[in-house]
Amino acid sequence: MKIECVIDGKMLSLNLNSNKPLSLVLQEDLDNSTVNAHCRGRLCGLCAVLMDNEAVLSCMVPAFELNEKEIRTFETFQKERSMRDIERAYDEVGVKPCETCYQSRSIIIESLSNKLLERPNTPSEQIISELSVIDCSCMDTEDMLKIVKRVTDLKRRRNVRRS
Amino acid sequence: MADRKGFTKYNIQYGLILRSPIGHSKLLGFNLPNLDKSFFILKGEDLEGNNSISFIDGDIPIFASGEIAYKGQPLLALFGTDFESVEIALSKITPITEPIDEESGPTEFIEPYEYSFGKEQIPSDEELSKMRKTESEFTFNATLFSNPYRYATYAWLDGKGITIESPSQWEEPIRKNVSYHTGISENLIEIINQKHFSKRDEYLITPVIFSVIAAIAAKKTGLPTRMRSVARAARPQFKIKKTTYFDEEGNMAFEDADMSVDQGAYPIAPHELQRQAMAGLLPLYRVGRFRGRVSILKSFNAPASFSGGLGYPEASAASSVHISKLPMKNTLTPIQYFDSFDSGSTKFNDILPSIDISEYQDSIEKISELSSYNRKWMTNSLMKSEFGLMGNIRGIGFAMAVGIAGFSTTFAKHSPFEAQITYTQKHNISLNTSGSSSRDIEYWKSIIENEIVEKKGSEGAFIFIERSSDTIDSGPDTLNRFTSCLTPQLKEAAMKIDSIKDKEKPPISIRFKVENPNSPCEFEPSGFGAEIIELSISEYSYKPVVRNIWATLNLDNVINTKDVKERIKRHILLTLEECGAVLSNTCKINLSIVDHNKNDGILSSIVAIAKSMTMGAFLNALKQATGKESPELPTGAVNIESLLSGRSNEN
Repeated sequence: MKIECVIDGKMLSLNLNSNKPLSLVLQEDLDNSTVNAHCRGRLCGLCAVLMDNEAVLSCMVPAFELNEKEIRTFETFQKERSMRDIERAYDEVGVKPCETCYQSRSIIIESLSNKLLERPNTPSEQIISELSVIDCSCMDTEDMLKIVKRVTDLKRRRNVRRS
Repeated sequence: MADRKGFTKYNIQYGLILRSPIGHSKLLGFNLPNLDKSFFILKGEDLEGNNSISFIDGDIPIFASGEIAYKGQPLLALFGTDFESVEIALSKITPITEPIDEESGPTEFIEPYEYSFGKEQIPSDEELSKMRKTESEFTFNATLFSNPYRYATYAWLDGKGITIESPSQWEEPIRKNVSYHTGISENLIEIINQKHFSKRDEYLITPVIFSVIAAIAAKKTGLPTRMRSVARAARPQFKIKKTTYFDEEGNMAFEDADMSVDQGAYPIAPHELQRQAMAGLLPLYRVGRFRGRVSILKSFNAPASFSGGLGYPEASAASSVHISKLPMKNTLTPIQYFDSFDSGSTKFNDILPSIDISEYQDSIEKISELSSYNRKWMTNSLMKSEFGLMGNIRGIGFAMAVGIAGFSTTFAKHSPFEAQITYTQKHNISLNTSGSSSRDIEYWKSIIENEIVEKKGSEGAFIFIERSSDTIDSGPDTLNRFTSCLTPQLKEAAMKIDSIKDKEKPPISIRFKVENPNSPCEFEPSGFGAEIIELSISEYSYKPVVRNIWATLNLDNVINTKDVKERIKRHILLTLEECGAVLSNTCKINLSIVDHNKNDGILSSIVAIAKSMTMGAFLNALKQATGKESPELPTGAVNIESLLSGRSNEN
């Protein structure tokens, strides 16, 4: 199947098996070094990428869904300003995800903070349930929540300054 | 540094491992499909010399040959032009096996290690039979953790040499084993260590095997090789039984501890494990006589890695579980009972020097108050059979642990693990060691600046020597060795340099052992921790849900409190995950750190303390919640369901 999409800013035309998961497309066809997990859909949560600005688990996205979508992996996301906000929040809260889930967790935090900017009244339970998609116990819920809120706060302040 | 710029995905060969789908059996051969010339197979018999790698004091086979020792053992490696085609071809290869009739259980691998101390004589069996006793059992079953995180191992020829790129906790065995199997001189082997986070020492042994396979393939074909694997780590099985005998006056006259450790098919550092485990078995209270015994078993399970500690955390957790069982009356909680001990120190012995527990009783009291431990413990105990249809399914547990780090003194005396500090002609300080996490370098810098630069007010710079074949092997990055053991040794060496640098002409070098080989005891205690865990059993999933955690740690020389706090929290959470616990969404870790600021004190071993106290507190809480004396770890819904249903039958 021929698929046209934008991955990490590059417009690509790929000839793929239609049900090949995005995680494998990134690892095997595009040699992306930032998506390393492949749990075959067991929800390890370590392969998150941004699809049209929303975090998705790449092992759950079949290739046919990629058509005309924009994918951002940690490879480009780590160079963006939003990542600096997240790093600042890690530093301020005093906890950092482990190297195993660092990339995926940062991407999910980015997606959640964007949601919180749009809908500030999102209940904490919803944020927690989205954060707990990562099957790695290196951080507790309270700290994760603090980080998401801090990142949202940093973004909001910047938006106010801009406007 | 040789990088990967020279090759692309079109001129590289991709390799995957075929693992045994069955356990102990005879391996007669393989059913191989017709593979075209683009594929290349590597089996045990193809390997030059020996089909094994050497690691510390033992050998581990690279591929099974003739006999499969455990389920999941590597059987062969297949290389091709891309991972997809290799994976498809690999699925068509099946091993031809035959069951082995004489199936035997675990066998003793080495002589059991026995140790006893105390003034009193060991009572005879007849005397013991007349004494009142308290027994406790602790079981942590063997577990194989398979992380979905896939890491890559690269090998490519670089002129006459070879470059290996892999995550690794210890580069030296990679260099030695690759050299042995490929015939390439050790100084022509460059190792690029990938960034990694080792939860359970999974990057200690497996990367050595994968590096050797990738290097052999690269040498045979002349092509750069990339191998893919998931990070796997196996835990040993621990069974611990502790019995305390009381004399007529109610004093603890004798304590007996028996521990057996099943290290799987290829036990690693078994003698060291015995010493580490013995340190955890020692009682943290005064007892007339203590006797401990640690046996190492070999079985047909996956070979166990260090798993964050060599038996010390489990043994120490078992001791905490035992302490909680000692109060004979329900009117005393374990903390109240512990508080009632005579203040003073534990007895000095060959394994650990005396520890002044009374020094820590205040901080235990503090977290007890914060968590309302005594009230909750009493309530849970009294309501056990009264509350609801399932009984009371809440529990609160307490545990404490002394921190130890690194290898024992006996190991250090014979180990080649060293580092070197040099005061150069340009009045710089350089450190030559294979241990180099950025966190450790920061610690070392501050020590050197304190001891040499600031003292004399001279301008100095710290140089960390880049890794090469000249790097001194400081041993594996495990057991907190580089933070807790190398640091005090470095401090001593820096002080020596400071005292002679004005008398002798530079360069002045001092080479020192990473662990102190002259310590009078096997281990130097470094810090103390206590933890309380509150949990309840989910009525829907039967999983233990941790509600709250309180922990306090008394540490020496904390340089970066934030960093230490982060590490402790992380290891508490990882240990809970390992034990089979689930965290509630509102779970909070209330952590306090007391820095003793003792100049002669050493930085504590975070992993050992965090694992020991978390495991012990969790098991004590689980015992109270399920009402069973010896729930096994790691626990799960099935275990708990059977424990709870067993209890209702009894009732």
